[in-house]
Amino acid sequence: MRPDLPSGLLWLAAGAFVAWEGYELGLGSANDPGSGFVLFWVGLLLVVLALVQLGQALARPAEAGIRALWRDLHWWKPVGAVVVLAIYAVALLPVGYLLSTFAFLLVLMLAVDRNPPVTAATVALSATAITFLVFDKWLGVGLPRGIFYL
Amino acid sequence: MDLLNSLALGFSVALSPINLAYCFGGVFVGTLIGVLPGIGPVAAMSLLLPATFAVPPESAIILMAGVYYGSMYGGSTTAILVNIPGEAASVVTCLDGYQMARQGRAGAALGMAAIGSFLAGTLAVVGLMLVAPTLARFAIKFGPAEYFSLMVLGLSILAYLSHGSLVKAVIMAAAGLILGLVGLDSITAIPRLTFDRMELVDGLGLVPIVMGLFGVAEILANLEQELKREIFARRITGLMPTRDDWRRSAWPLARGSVLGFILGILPGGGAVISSFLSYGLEKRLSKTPERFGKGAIEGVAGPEAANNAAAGGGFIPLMTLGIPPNVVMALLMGAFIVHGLQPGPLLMVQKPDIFWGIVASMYIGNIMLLILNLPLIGMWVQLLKVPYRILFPLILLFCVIGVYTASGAIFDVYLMIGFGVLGYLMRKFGYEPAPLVLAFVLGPMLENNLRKALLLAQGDFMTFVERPISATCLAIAALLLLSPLLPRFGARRNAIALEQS
Repeated sequence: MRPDLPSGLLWLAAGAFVAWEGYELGLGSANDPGSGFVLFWVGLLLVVLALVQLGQALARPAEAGIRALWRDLHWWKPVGAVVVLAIYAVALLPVGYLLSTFAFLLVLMLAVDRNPPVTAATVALSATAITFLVFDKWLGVGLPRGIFYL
Repeated sequence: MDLLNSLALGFSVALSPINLAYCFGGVFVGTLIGVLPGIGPVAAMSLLLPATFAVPPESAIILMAGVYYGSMYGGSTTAILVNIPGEAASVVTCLDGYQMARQGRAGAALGMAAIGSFLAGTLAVVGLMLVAPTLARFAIKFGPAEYFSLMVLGLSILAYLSHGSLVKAVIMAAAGLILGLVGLDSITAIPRLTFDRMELVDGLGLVPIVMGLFGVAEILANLEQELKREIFARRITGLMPTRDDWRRSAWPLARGSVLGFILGILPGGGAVISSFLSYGLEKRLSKTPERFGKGAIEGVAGPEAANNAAAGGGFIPLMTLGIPPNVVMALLMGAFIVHGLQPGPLLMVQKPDIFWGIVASMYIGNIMLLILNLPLIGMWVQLLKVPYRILFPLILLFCVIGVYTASGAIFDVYLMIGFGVLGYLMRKFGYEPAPLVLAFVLGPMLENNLRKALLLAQGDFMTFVERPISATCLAIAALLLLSPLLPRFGARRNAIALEQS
């Protein structure tokens, strides 16, 4: 599949949705534009642009598909980093900053990109401690304590 | 005389110990950010924004501004020594700077980059000092129609200068406008696109969006490819360029400074475009263009001067019109607003100490950068030896801390991750994030000015074309956006894109 087709369809759907939302909110009149006035017209502009993009994609001769965008690349690394980052974000409040940050850095350095375990543990521990001291103690930013009050 | 009095006031602010410390902190962090691949000035400034909440407004802006122009200096170090640009404006420095390093002339390249940056940066501050008051007086005459048209022009220039498809760039700008309108309508207080979520009532935060699109996305993109970093010069010697180097570089430095300053003022211009255009210009004017790409010092001097002059020039539209010309300035505008300041034509009148304090701090910051960059090159080289597999988790952690501390809401961290994934996919599919961010910042202002202009004109759309400044802005914007249909303009845009690629 040509890469510009799915992205064009996505923008088409987004534009249509926004234009509809704008219409629902009320366009008002020219001398008193409503809350949906700009949303409606920008949504419509997005629809037109998406159609132009789709037209261009279909008019062009078939090129390499979407898979080619990830060919010869370590695609699993960004995927792994996002998964670990998402778990960290979910765990941050309940588990607390110190424990969740140490685990987050350790997993990133061991699983996503291979570091020697001693190096990973040292960096994770020192980075967690230093950032906690700087942001929480020195700058007074309240970092989450979590259920263990850590 | 009035100008000298203003400058004296500015120096009295900038030379206070606390502001000197913040200026030094800003340029130091900026240089560090420039040296480290994988985190640019936009992400760094987002990260620092929450740390400035407790400090006086002028100190906060001095710090943030220092990070920006400091990163322009630092970016050349990695470009020359490792062939990896520390930030986008230094991409072109790789071409000849790295070749000079391979020939054992890393010192001369680094020296020229630092001294050229200093000269251009200082010239840009002089230009800012001379141009800003005049432009501010002129901007007071602007009404809602002019502001609306000027913002449309800014977005159009940015889309026109974006790399790749113009349609995609305008799609990004439209998406940014929509994202900027999420939250309560400022006039009717009706919630828009909030999906009944309380977190969205105040709108989306600039920091999570910027950190996601520029910080997290950059890391994800770097992770999937092997970053080979081979430092050619482990001991840097001979930092002063030779007489022949100066002879070759004098005019490129001057031209780069002027070109960068002018492009910096223009909405959408910025440091990246100016460095590419400067390189193209020098190659075109050179009697020996075949030397370019093989270690020509002019290829370092011109672009480095251009990107630093552009960084200084970019302050003019922000501080005199209240319109950010690029993403970095959009972020700086956020910092102004967070501290209760409204950048624009009245800033100079209402808060002269802050305006001139910032200008004066840029003189001082440029001197600090020269002192930082030349003797501390060895330290930056040591820093470059830290493997990326250790750096990237730390950068990701700083992104999370920056976003979380800015709002205290975990929702913003989720938002950052979402925009990080979106930014990564955007890169893959050929969409540039810069028009989206600028449109996001300008969106609410653009809508307000459009609605105000129509209210004042009693619904007559002709108000936008009957007023000369507004009509001129809209005409240029239309010309740029229709350029693919006009062979000559389309060819010019393609030439710029080709030079960038």
